[in-house]
Amino acid sequence: MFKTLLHLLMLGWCCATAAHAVERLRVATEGAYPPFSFIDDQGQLAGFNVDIARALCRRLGKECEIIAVPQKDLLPGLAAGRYQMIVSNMSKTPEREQWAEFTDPYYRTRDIFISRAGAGIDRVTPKTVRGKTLATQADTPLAHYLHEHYANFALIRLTDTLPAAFTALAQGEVDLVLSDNLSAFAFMRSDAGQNLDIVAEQPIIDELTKAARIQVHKGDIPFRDAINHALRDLWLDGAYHRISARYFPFDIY
Amino acid sequence: MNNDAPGQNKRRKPRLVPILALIAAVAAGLGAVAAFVLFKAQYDILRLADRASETLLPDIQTQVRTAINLERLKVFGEIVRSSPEPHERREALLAMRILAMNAIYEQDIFTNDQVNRVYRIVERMAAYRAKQDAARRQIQDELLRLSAQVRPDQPALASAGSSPPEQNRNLLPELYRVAQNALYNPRSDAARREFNALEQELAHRQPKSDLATNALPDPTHDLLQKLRVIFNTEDEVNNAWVSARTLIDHLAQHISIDAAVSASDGNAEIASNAQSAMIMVAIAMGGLILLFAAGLHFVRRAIVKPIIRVTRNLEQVKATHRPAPLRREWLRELDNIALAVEAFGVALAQNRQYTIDLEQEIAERQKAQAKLLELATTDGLTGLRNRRYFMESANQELDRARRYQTPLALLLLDADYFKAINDRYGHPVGDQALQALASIGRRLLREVDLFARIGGEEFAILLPQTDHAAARNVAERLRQAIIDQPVITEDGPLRLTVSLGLASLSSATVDLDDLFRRADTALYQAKQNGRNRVESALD
Repeated sequence: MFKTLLHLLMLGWCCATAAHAVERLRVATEGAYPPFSFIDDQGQLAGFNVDIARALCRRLGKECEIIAVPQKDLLPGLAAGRYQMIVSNMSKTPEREQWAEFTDPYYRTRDIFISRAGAGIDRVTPKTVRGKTLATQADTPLAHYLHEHYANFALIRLTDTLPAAFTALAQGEVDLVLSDNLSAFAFMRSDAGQNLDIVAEQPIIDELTKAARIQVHKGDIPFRDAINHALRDLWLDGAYHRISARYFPFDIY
Repeated sequence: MNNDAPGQNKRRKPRLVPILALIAAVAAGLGAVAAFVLFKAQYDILRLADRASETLLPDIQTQVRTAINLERLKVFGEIVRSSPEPHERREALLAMRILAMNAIYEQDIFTNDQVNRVYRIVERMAAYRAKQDAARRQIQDELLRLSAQVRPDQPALASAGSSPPEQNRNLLPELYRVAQNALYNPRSDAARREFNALEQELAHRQPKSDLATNALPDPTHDLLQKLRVIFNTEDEVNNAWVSARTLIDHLAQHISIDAAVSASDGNAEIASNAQSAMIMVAIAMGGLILLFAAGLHFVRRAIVKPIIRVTRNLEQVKATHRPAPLRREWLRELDNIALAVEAFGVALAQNRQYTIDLEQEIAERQKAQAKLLELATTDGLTGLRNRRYFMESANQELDRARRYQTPLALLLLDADYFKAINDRYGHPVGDQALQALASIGRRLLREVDLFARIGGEEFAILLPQTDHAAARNVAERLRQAIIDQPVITEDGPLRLTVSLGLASLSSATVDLDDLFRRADTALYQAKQNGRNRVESALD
C-alpha cells in the first residue's frame, strides 16, 4: 500500500519535471497593428510587441512561442488557456479586467484624430463632424467611444484592422480616423500616409488616454508580478530603449 | 530588641518577590522596547526600500523618459530648423506633436506645459520654413527669367517679362550672385552683408520720386523683397529656435535636479531611519546592561551578602554561645531571617547562661556541704580530725582489723605541762604549740593513719596494720621529733615534750572504749613516770 503510494508520488514527480522541461510560454498578439505587431517581409511576426515579448520571455527564463490572434479573440483565447500572455497594446478597462490580470504599462500613448492634410478639419466636435465619416478599428474601446459620442452626428465605419482605417483615410474614403498616436505616427511616416495630418485641436478624451498593458490569466498574481519585475529589468538594463528605438524616433515608455 | 519591631518592619520592608518581579518587568519592558524599535526600524527601512522601488523607481523612469524625450525634442527641432526636405520637417514636427501630447503623462504640469510651448514654437518655425520655401521657389523662378537678361545673347527671353529699368541693368549680375548665395546659404553672414549692400545701392540709385512715377514694376525690387523674406524668416526661425532651446535646456535642468533630489531624499531618509534605529537600539541595549548590572548589584547587596552575614552570625553564635547583633536587612524575607537568627542567638545565650548558673549553684552547694562536713569532722585549730570523726572512723577500723585479723594500735598523745605554757606564754603561743604538734605528727604519720585532736592538748593516733612493737617505734619517733623541733614563739624557741600511751588490739579487747581505756591508762602511767616518755598498756 505504502509502496504503491510512493510509486505514484514518484510518477507524479517525474511527469511534472518532464512537463516543466518542455514548458513554453505561449504569447498572443494581434499581428496586424504596425509597428507593434505585423507580418514582415519573410512572413514572420515582428514588431515592438513581438520584441518585447521575446525579451520578457528571456528575462523569465522561458521559451517563447508568439502567435497572432485577431483582436476580438485575444481575451477569450487567454481565458480558454490557449496562451498564457497577451502583448497586444491593450489598455485597462473595467470589462477587460473581468477577463484577465493587467500588468504595469509597457508603453504609453494617447488617442488622436487624424485627417487628410488641408481637409479643413481643425477640431472635432459634433458640429464639425456632421456628415463626415469617422473610422477606427472594430471591437476596441475607440469604436465604443465613437459610437457613444458621434453616432448621432456622423457616419461611423469600423474596420477589422487599424491599418485598414488609415488606408481608407489616405484614399479619401473616410474623413477622420481615431487611433492611438503611435500607430498613427507610424502610418503617417510611411509613403501611404504622407497626405495625412493630426487634427490641430484634439478633443480632451480622458477616458481614452491610455497606457498599454500585458495580460495574464485572471488571478495569476505571481506571474503578473514576475512580468512587472521583468519589465522593470528590461527598462533598467536598456533593452527596452533599444527595442523602442527600432520602431520610434523617441522613447515611448 | 523589642518584640513589636519585627511586626512594624513587616509592614515597612519591601518584599523580595515583588522586587524580582519588578526587575524582570523592567527588563522585559526594555527588551520589548528594543525589540519594538528594531522591528519598527526594519519595517521602516523595508517600507522605504519598497517605496524606492514602488515610487522612486517609477519616478526616476519618468524623469529619464522625459530627459530622453527632451533630447529628442532638440533633435526634432533642429531638423525642423535646418532640414531643406519638407517631408523630413513634417515627420519631425509630427513626432514632436506626439511627444508633446504624451507629455500629459509627466507627473508635473510644468513639464507638460513647457513641452507644449516648445512644440508651438517649433510649429511656428515650421510655418516660417514653409513660407521661406515658397519664397525660395518664386526666387528660383525669377532668377531663371533674369538669367536670360543678364546674358545679352538671349534677348528673346529678356523681352518676355518685365525688365529692370536701364539704370539698374548693370546691377543684374551682382543681384543674381547675391540671390544664389541667399538661396543656398541663407545663414551665412557674407550673403547677408552682400544683400544689404546691394539693397542700399539700389535705394541710392532710385530716388523715391522715380519709384513713384515708374509705371512698370521693377523685377529687381520684387526679387529683393523676396530675398528679404528669406532672410527675415531665417531670423524668425533662428530666434524661435533660441527660445525653444532655452526652454528645453531649462526643462532638462529642472528634471535632472528633480530626479537627483528625490533619489537622495529617499536615501537620506533610509540613512536617518537606520541611524535613529541604531541609536534607539543602543540606548535600549545600554539600558538592559545597566539594569543587568543594577540587578546583579541588588542581588549581591540585598540577598547574597545578607545570607552570608546571617550564616556567619550563626557560626559565631554556635562558637561563642553569645548573641551577636545583625544589621537590619532591606528585604522583608531576609530581615525576617536575620531577626530569627538574632533571636536564636539570644535564646541560645540565655539557655547557656542558665546552664552555667545552675552548674555553679550545684558546685557551690557541694562545696558548702563539703565544708560543713569538714567543719563537723575537723578540728578548727590544727586542721586535724576531731574527736567525733575519730570515734566513728576508729570503730570502722577496729571492725575491719577484727574481721581481717590484722594488727591495730592506738596512741594517745598529751602535751606535757601545757597548762603552764598557756599560763606563761598566753593562749596564742599555746595554740601555736598545738599546731606545731599537729604538723609534726602529719609529717611523720602515714596517710592511712588516723590522727585527731580529741581534747585540749590531747591527741589520738590510730595505726592500722601496725603491731605493738611498730606502734611503740612510731610513738618514740614522734616523741623525739617533738623534742627536736622547738616551737618558735615571740619570746624565743620553746622546747615542748609529750607523753604517749600505747594500746594494741588483742583478742581480749572488747571494743573501742576498752582500747581507749587501756591507752589512757598507759598515758597516765607515762605522766606518772615523769612525762616525756612512752608507756604501753599490757594485754
